[in-house]
Formats: sequence, structure tokens, C-alpha cells
Amino acid sequence: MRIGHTRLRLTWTHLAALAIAAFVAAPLYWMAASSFKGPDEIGANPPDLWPKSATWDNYRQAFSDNNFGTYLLNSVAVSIVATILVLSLSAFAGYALARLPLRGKGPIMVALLMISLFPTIALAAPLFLLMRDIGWLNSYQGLILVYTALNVPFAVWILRNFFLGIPKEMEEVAWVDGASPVRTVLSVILPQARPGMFTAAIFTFTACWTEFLIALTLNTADRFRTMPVGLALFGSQFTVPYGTIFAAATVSVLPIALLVLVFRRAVVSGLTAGAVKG
Amino acid sequence: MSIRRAAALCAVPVLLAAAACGSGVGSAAVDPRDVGPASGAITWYAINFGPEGLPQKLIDAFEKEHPDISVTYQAAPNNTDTMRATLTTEISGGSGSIDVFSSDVIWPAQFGRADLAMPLDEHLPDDFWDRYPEERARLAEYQGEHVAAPFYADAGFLYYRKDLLEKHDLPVPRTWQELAETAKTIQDAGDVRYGYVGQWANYEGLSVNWLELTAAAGGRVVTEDRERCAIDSEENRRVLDFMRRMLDEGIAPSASTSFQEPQSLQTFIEGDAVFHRNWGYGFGESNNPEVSAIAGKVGIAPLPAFEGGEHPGPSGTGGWNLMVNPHSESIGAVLTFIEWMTGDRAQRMLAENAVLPTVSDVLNDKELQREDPVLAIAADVPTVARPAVIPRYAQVSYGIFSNINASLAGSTPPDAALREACDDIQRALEGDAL
Amino acid sequence: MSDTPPEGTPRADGPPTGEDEGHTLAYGHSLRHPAPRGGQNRADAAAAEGPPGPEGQKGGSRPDRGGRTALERKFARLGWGFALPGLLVVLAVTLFPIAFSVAMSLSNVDVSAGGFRLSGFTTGHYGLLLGSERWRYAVLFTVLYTIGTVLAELVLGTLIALVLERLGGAGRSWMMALLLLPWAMITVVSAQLWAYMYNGVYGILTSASENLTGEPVQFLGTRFPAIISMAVADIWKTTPFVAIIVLAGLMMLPKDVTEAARVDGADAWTAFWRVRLPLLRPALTIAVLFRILQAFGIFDLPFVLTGGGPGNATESLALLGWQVMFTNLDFGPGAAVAASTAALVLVGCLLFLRAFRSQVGEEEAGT
Repeated sequence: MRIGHTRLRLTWTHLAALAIAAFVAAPLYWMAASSFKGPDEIGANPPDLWPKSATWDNYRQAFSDNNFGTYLLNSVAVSIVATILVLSLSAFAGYALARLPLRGKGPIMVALLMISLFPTIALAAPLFLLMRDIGWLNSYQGLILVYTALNVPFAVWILRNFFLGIPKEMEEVAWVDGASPVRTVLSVILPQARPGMFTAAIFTFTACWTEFLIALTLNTADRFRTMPVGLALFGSQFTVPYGTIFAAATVSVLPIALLVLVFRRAVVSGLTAGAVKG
Repeated sequence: MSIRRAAALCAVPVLLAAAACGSGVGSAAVDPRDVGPASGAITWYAINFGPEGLPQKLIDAFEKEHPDISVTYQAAPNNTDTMRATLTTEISGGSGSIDVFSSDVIWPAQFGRADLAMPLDEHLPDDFWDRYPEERARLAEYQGEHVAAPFYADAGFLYYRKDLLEKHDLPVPRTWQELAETAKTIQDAGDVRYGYVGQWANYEGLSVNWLELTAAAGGRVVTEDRERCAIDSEENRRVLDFMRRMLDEGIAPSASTSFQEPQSLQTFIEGDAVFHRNWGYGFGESNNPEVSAIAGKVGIAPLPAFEGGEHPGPSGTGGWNLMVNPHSESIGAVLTFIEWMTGDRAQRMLAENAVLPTVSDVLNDKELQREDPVLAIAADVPTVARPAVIPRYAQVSYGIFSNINASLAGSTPPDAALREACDDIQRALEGDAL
Repeated sequence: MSDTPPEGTPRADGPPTGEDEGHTLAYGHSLRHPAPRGGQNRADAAAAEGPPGPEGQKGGSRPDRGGRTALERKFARLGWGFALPGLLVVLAVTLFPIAFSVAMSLSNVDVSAGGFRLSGFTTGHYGLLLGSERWRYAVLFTVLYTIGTVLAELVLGTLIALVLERLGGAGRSWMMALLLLPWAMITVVSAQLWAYMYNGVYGILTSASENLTGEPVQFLGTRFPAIISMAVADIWKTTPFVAIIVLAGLMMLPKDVTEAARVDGADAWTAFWRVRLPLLRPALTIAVLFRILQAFGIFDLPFVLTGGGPGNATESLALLGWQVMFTNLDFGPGAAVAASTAALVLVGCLLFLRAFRSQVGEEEAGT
């Protein structure tokens, strides 16, 4: 009776997971399938569920006729560096705001929230002025700096939240053992907050990876353009080359999937090992 | 680490400097004698046009004739609004990294008013403008001064299915009403799904479609002196009713209210519509066997008249100009570039690549016209320009397309839509619109 | 300056000032909840309320005038050392742009080749907004759209997280990878993808709807379908954000909490609703808070998918701000739209924090 109960529940879980997977994957499938369709097939009516004469043309076009390779590398570089910076800044700030006796924590947290709620469209032009004055237009560091600043608030919020969930005993043991504060954070706190670090990292990375308006405004030179901007250059005024866009988008989505799959173990343990063990 | 330190160090001085910069430093107008030599490196920021690689081909040809000047082509986003946003930020931010840029035919007044384009009259010879048809040159003016040099043109055309008209032994329609009837006949025979597709989505393109129709019907959007709205008129009511009837009777697909150029073209080249209104590129695209299911079966004609009006109906004016960034430090080279791009050689290259030239000589060249029916029609059709000489044209246009689109989508009854459009346009003219 | 945050804001956790942690965004403070970790509870409740450090040391320090011990002051300095680099980077980059935008919204702005020229003080831009039907509609639309999509995402995201939690193992990591894809997609591209699928003539969804009902559904052509279609595309892309945060939150929950509830005879539903959900509150709060921010600022999706249409049916505040600023080149009113957006989100976030807390509080009281 009890076993049957469990088995049934397991099946329901699997069914639900399948339904979720289908809802999430269907549009992605459609994007990937369309990226292999030739120009005559991409607008077919009714659409073909499977590319009848699959072709790599769209991929060739994205990578040879356009500088998509450069854009992709720029995006990778900017997003990775910004993510590392955000994590290192926010881990310490989040810890201080969670555990250490700072005055004015509440106002600080709210101020961070307020900064993230100002619409990007209003920030683009002043940021341009700012970066022009430092001479960081058309550079990596300009974009990295801005992305870091814009993503620290969320990372601090989420990391602080996770730090608050870690029992204090372990830190206390570290203090008693005479570990330095930095060392305590690095070797005691962070490993315990792995789900938090992982969550913050994923969200920072994707935020940088997909950002359009600021990248468009700050880096106009072709060799510094990032992928979202590069994609907006495909086609011309009256054409939307869905094939090329989807080919490029499929490629741009792959690194994330690969990252998660390659580090599958780390991801899963990142989301479980940190769990508080009684 | 260094970034963090640098940011901390820079913060205060940077804030002050940027604020100072933000509050405006002097005018950037260039003294005519100080344009610099016609040499050096310049950057041309342009939205993609023509067949793949055409901008670079033009540059190569230019550099061959002007070895002292090197030009970098910087592709702009393929969305006009996004491109305008980048340009505005760059130029008003004082950047000279773009020297010369392509600009939409509706930008001169807006850019002129905001001081974002360098006035050209002092720098170009008076007879420079004689190369263009008068109307085209006038569209590049702001307050009597040229702020842009017309580069390539565009116009609205009617594309039709030759095979279907032949099959039913019907002529190419000369009025919109006739077009609707013809379409209905062919649809009823089960030969095609839809009768007509145009661009009726909620965007600038609908303003063009609307102006073409209303101009044919004798309607206006603003009064001649551009002081008052004139959209709420009997003529325009007829046009709106006509458009809605096309939707109601299924002549135009109900999805039309979300169609821009790519969607309407796609519907047409899949063989799903008899008639299609689009720009000049539509001819080459719909006759290209690689993308089109109806290649070789497509005819082109001027737009129809509205019942009782003169044939042909007017075509909306499209196309792009060249503008100069007032911050450019290579004005001399830029002027040479503009002179060449609007000269015979470049304009012929455009025409040979199915891009409509702006220069009269090339536009009227019989030889070229024989090879390109689009050019032949473009040279002769009457045109209707958007009232973009109003610096607040963007708001006027919003008043047109948002209300017309809402009415076509069935959200507002036609009389209310025209009344609200009139209110919006009036507020825009008075500088009182958001 | 007081340590007490404004009413309705998340209260900081500041051990030395003795704030009540039960009301903060903290995990595992299980004073009110069954948890068999009595030892730790007692530690939480009593001794460990100071800065992390051996209690003996704490007792040995002499309090200063403000009631702080030397050790506490040392830890406060350390805290600032930890927090400042991050805060300074944020300030250095965002302070000027925000201040500049607010300044633009309050003065006459001329865009010109010489830069933005600000002159005089005026509230005229805000007057223009308040008098504008277009702005009022955008506010209404954005607020309702935010409430609708965030609610849907909250429910769906939590359900997905629960399913993933049960799934475990390899299945979970595959699902995680899959879930991250929509979220990691460039918004403009996912908007293009949905525009392509919704296309009234050759879109897959249109033709599917035709097969199902015999009549093609026009997803984007008319008002309410367009709003719903946009919301679906949004929910598809952003629910993973909520799901992953909630999943991470679930993982941080002490396992014994649920087990204890089970032992007490609660069924799975009650255990979730009464025990785990209240404990998930901090994670849910963050997920919802930041989703409110993002949903309120929605721009790319209507920009590509509908252009704000039909009419202005799907014109969000951010899209309106963009159009006023970069299509009309009216930077003053555009900045005013942006500032008003920020003000509204702030109000929304504060209201949410307040409502969410009191609601959970009542539930606890009823237990």
C-alpha cells in the first residue's frame, strides 16, 4: 500500500515534469527547427513541423557574412568577467549586511532595490556621457563596469538572504579557531551558500548575456559589439531574416545549456549540498 | 580589482565632468572655411540597404576614385527607431566617432530642430541641389536650409498576381474599389486565400499606407498651413470605412492589423494574396525564385486611385538621406563622400542594384528604366510626402497610426477613431502631446 | 540615523540592536515552527544574537556610549570594509545617471549637438503626463499586466520548483538546463520567436488553432488576444527565474522540518502549506520583488511583438518612455515617464512587502 502510493506519486511527478518540459521546449524546438529551414520554407503556410530540406545556410550566413563570431566572444568575455566581479563584490557585501552590525542596513537594502528599479531607457543616455568622459566608450571595461554595478543589487539581496539561512555555529567555530574574517567568509560561509552563489551567478550571467540597450549605446564599434546588438544588425529595414536570427540565437543559447550540462554534478550539488544539514 | 579601484577613484571627478558636459558646451557649428582637407578616415553609419554587401561595394568604388579618403561602413540596427536612438545619444553626447550617417526621409525637421545634423548649404555649391527633383530636395530642408542630402529613394507600389488576373480575364484595377471587387471575385473562385495585404500594424508604416489612401481620396491629415488637424473629414471617413470593409469581407486578412512589411510580403510571396502594397524592394523579392513561390507571376503597377479620383493614386515617399554629424572632424572628406554618393556613378550603381536613385538624371534614364520596371514607374507616379516638415511629426504620426490601427482592430468605432486622431494630432501640433 | 528601516520595508537583521529576526527575510529561524533542533533554537534565541564570536569575548568588552562593545565596533568597521566596495561601484555608476534623469524630468531640456541643455525648474513634464490619456492608460496597463503575469509566474514557478525538487538526480539537472534556456534567451530574439509563431498567416500557433477550431485565432491583431499572447510569451520566458529561486530556497530548508510535520500527522499538502511555504517566504519575496521590477519595466517584448498595438493596447510605461525619449526626442517628458515608472514600482514593491508579510503573519497567528 505504501509502496504503491509512492510509485503513483513518482509517476505524477514525472508526468508533471514532462508537461513542463514540453511547454518550455516547444518554442525552443520551433526556433531550432526553423533555423534549418531555407527561405522558401520558413514562411510556408501551413508550416512544416520538420524541416523538409534541412540546410546549414542560415548558420553559414550568420557566421561568415556577419561578424557573429566576434559578437559571441565579446558577450562571453563581458558576461564572465562581470559575473565574477558581481559575485566577489556581493558575497562580502551580502555577508556584511546579513551578519555584521552595520548601522542603516534597512535603508541600504532599500536603496539597492531603488537603484535596480530605475528604467534602463532613462539611464542609457547619461551612462553614455559618463563613459565618454572616462574614455571608456567602445571598450570591454566600460560595459563590464556598468553590468557589474547594475547586477550587484540583485546579487546582494539574494546572497544576503541565503547567508541569513546559514546557522551561526560554524562561523563561531571558525572565529574561535582564529580564522581571519575574509577566510571565514571564503572557506566557511561561501561553501554553505552554494545554492545562493549559483543562483546569483546564473542570473547575473544571463542578465549580462541578454542586455541590449546599454551595449547598443556604449559600444558602437563593430569589434566591441555584443551578441544581442549583433543580432539587431541582421537583415535590413524591411526584412526580418528569421532563419539567420534563429540560427544565431540557437548558437547563442547553446553555451548556457552546455555549461549547465557539463557542470551537471556541480549544479545539482550546488543546489543541494549547501542545504542545511541538521 | 583595478576596475573597482578605478571606479572609486573616478567617481567624483567624473560626476562633475559629466554634469558639466551634460549642461551643454558651446555650439558645434563648423565655420565654412574650416572644413578641413578632403582626406583622412571617416565612418559612415547606415542601415543595411540593397543586396548584401552593396554599401561596401559603393565604398570600394569611392575609395578607388578618392585614395586619400578611407571610409568605414558601420552597420546600424535594422530598426529605424533603434538607429535613431543610437544616433541621438551619440551626437547629443558630443561624440564625433560617426562622421556621416544615413537618415530616414522623415528626420530632417526633427534632427534640424535638435541641432543633430550639420546644415549643408554653406558647404555645398548652390547648384548641388539641382540634381534632385524639386520635391525631393525640399524634403531635406529644415527652416529653409538643407540639413540632409537625399541618397536613395523609395515609393509605394501595387504588386499583383499576373497569372490570376489573366485566368479570370480581369484588368489591373485602377481604383481601390475595383481592386476590392477583383480580389473578391478571385477569392470566391477559390484561387487564393486573401485579396489584399498592406502594412496596417501599429507603426509608422500604417501612416504611410493611410496617407496614400487618403491622398487618393482627397483627404488630408493636417491643414495646408500645418496649423490644424484635418483628419476628421468626410473623405477620410470613406477611406477608413473602406479599409474596415476589406477586413470585414476577408479581402484583407484580419491579421493585417499586425502586419509590417516583412509579414505582408511573406503572405504575398507564399501565394496567399492577389494584391500587395509595398516598397520598391518588393518586386525583386517576390520574383526571386529562391524565396518566392510566385516568382515570375508578379506584376507591378502604380497605386490605384480612390473612386472618382485621378489615376494613378499617389505613392508614399520613402528613402534615406545622408546627414553630417556636427562633431565630425573630417568635414572636408565627408563632403567629398556626399558629393560622390549623390553623383552619377554611385546613383547608377544603386539603380543597377534595384535601389531607387534620388538624382533626376539617373531616375529618368530610359535605358535603366527599360531594365527595371520599378524605376520606370517610380519616375512617373505622383507622390505624397508625410508631413515631416513638422518637427513634431513623430507625435502627429502616432496620432494617425495608433487611432487608425485601433479602429481597424475593432477597438474603436470609425467616427470616434477619427475624432480622437484629430485631438491627438492637434495636441501634437500645439506641442502638448506626450 | 536610525537602524529601523521605513515602515513596510524589509527589516535588516542587526543582531546588536536586538531586532526581531522572525520578521526578517531569514531562513531557518524556526522559533515559531516545529523543528527538532532545539539546541540551535536556543542559541538563536539567546546567546548568538551578537556578532559572530565567542561569547566569552563579548562579555569581556566594555560597552561604549552608544551601548556598543569594542568588539562590536570592530565588527562594524569590518562590515563596512566588506560592504563598501560593492556599494561604491553601484553608486559610482548609477548615481549620476539617475540624478541626471531626475534633473531632466524637472527642467526644460534641449537636445542639441552641444549636449543636453537643462534650463530652469519646471513641473510641466509631470503635468503633461498627468493630463495625458496615453500615460494613464500605460500606467493602468503596466500595473495590471505586472500583477497578472507575476501572479501566474509565482504559482507556476513554485509548482515547477516543487516538481523539480521531487524529481531529483539526473532528471533535475536536465530540467534545470532546459529551464534556463528561455531565461537565457535574448529578449529581443524570444520576442521575434513568438512573433513568428503568432504570425497571423504562417505562424505555427495560428495554423494549430485553425486545425483545432476550424478558424485561425488572430493572436496579435486585436486587443485582448494581443495582451494575453504577450503575457504568455512573457510567462514562458520568466517563470524559470521564479522556479529556480524557489527551488534554491527549497533546498536550503532544513529537511527535518517537513519530516517533523509528517510525524505530527500532517498530509503532504498541509505540510507544504503550513510549514514549508511560510519558510519559503524569503525566497518567494525576492523572486516576486525582482519580477515586479522586471515586469514593470517590460520593453523588448511589446517593442518587437506588438509595437504597443493594436492602438495602444499593449503600450507599457517603458515602451512609452522610450518612444517619448527616442522617437519624439522629448527628453524632459521622457525622463518624467521614467521617473514616474520608478516611483510607481517603488510603491508597488513596498506595498507588496507589506501585504506579503502581514498575510503570512496572520497565517502564523492562526496556526
